[in-house]
Amino acid sequence: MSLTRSGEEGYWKLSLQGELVSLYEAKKLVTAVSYNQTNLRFLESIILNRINETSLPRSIDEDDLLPSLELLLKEHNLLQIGDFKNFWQSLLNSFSLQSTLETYIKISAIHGFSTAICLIHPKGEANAWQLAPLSFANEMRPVPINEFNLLFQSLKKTKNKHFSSSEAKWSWLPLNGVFVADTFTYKKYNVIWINSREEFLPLTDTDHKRFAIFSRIMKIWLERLVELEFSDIKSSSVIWLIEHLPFEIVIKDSQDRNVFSNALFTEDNLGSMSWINLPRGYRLGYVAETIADDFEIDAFQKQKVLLLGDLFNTLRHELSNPLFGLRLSAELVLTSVDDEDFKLIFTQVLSNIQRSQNIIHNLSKLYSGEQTDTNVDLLAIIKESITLAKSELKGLYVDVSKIDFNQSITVEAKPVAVVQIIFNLIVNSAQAMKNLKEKAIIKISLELNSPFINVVIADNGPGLPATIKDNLFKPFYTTKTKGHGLGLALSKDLAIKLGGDLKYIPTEVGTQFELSLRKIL
Amino acid sequence: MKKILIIEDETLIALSLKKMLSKRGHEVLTVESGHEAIGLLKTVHFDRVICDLMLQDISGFDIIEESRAYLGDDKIKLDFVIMTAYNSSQVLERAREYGCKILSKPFEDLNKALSVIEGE
Repeated sequence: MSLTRSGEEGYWKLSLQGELVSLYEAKKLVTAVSYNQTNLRFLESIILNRINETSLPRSIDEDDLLPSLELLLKEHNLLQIGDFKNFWQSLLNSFSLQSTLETYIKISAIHGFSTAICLIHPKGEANAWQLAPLSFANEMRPVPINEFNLLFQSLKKTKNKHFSSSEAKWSWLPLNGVFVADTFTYKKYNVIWINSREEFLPLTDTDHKRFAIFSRIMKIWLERLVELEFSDIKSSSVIWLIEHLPFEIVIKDSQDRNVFSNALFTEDNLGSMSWINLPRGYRLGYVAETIADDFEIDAFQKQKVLLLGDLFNTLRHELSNPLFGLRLSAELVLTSVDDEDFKLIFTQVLSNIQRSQNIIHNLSKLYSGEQTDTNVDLLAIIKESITLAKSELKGLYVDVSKIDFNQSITVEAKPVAVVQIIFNLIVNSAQAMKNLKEKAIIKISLELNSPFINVVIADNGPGLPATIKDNLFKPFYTTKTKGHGLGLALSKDLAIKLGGDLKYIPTEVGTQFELSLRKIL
Repeated sequence: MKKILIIEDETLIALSLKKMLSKRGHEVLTVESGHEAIGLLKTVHFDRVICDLMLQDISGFDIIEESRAYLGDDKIKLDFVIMTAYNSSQVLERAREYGCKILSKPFEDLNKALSVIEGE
């Protein structure tokens, strides 16, 4: 996932594995989320770590600069030390170029300017960009490169960097009044830093001194922030997402500690969160509102579901060779040992390898649609599912009973698909009941509901909260911290493909699912 | 007793096949790299050449292309065996062009596969 700038069209694109979603369109759908300032510090540390990892240009030694700046400001009576420390702290707290500009102009008591903008030209590129504080414009606007260069060169030449927007040649700048500017040349960027005041009175000496001093500070900060703004590093997209998500989120680190949240989470809604994996073991949890155009989540899910087909193919290929090697060598050992125990062991080894190969083979067949529908003995299928799930069912009593009829039941279905669905439901139940105090039971019963036959899988476990109901069959929705939450979505999908369905039946106690299949008369 | 070259970068598969064929009385050499195989084929005579298609450095097809120039198409047809896990139609079609036997990985019938390798 990355946030990249589209040079030609002048807007930003959020790109997910090649699928582009226009940020402008996105912003129409979302509203800014207000956030808690203190929590942002945690986020800042994630981002700064990220910056360290991607080796952005380091600032000039801040420890040296700070005391001398303080002294300078004090000498010129420009600032109370306390105010300056606040300013510095606010800078430390901001994590994006725009929010930094916002901070800067808010501290109007100390600098006397009403607006600050940045003009940025990534060296060698055809476009330059203009960035204003968040309250003025939340988009980066393109700037014609010749205008940028003209201004840049003029500024470098003149000593008195004091201009008025009434001068014709600067009328393209979105500023009113007088402005003062400085130029910064970084390794990969040329930046023009402009402060303006909405009056036409000339700037005083004090104004100039103040600007000069703060300019030195901003030169350091801007280098880091411009790099952050323009590079493709993922933290910028994380920041954007966090600032613009229209729902409540929490970010947990790899130790499951909360590092950021924009809402108060109670036990209730924590239980119904969905999770997205972020880089470095972080996870983003969200409680989605039912927004029809919920593009963020749809985009994620769609991408992941699309990847499934690829995943199975990759899995199949990647596992095929190692398993083959294992099989050959096991065969070899089996024919070379005399010891009966070893013979037995290696017979088992071969059997396990065969089982593994079958699983992959069947999985990929499921997705290639090769398997034809056959007439399936339902009871046999159920028994096979239970056998497969055996390791998950340790200590549980599984009751298989049929109701209302005693002839054999045949359904039209792909046997492997039915096994997969029932297996998944059994395993889900088993996992939910791992800590059950009383005896855990999964009851599988059959109900005739012509022309369908329903396989009902019910357990006496803790059940599911009502809030989860709507999200149950969504891909990658999970209440487990492990696992990918794929099972139910896939199962329902398969059931529908078989001409039936998979439904969740709310019950007072435990959890109940109903798989309907077409009966063959 | 045949002199067999196995070109396979999956060590376990190569070692196992080597041992199995040795037990059946053959002299077996294994190489992991396609380039090394090409060099070897230029200087050493092999009765049978078993070549995996997907190697780390180059493809089995590249080896065949290089070899047919000086070994001749007939030798390729008679004594080369292509081993592959891929069953895409394009791959199979290209393999068939050379006229040699194709073995699908994993082997369904081990003894039958070994016979094909031996060239019986």
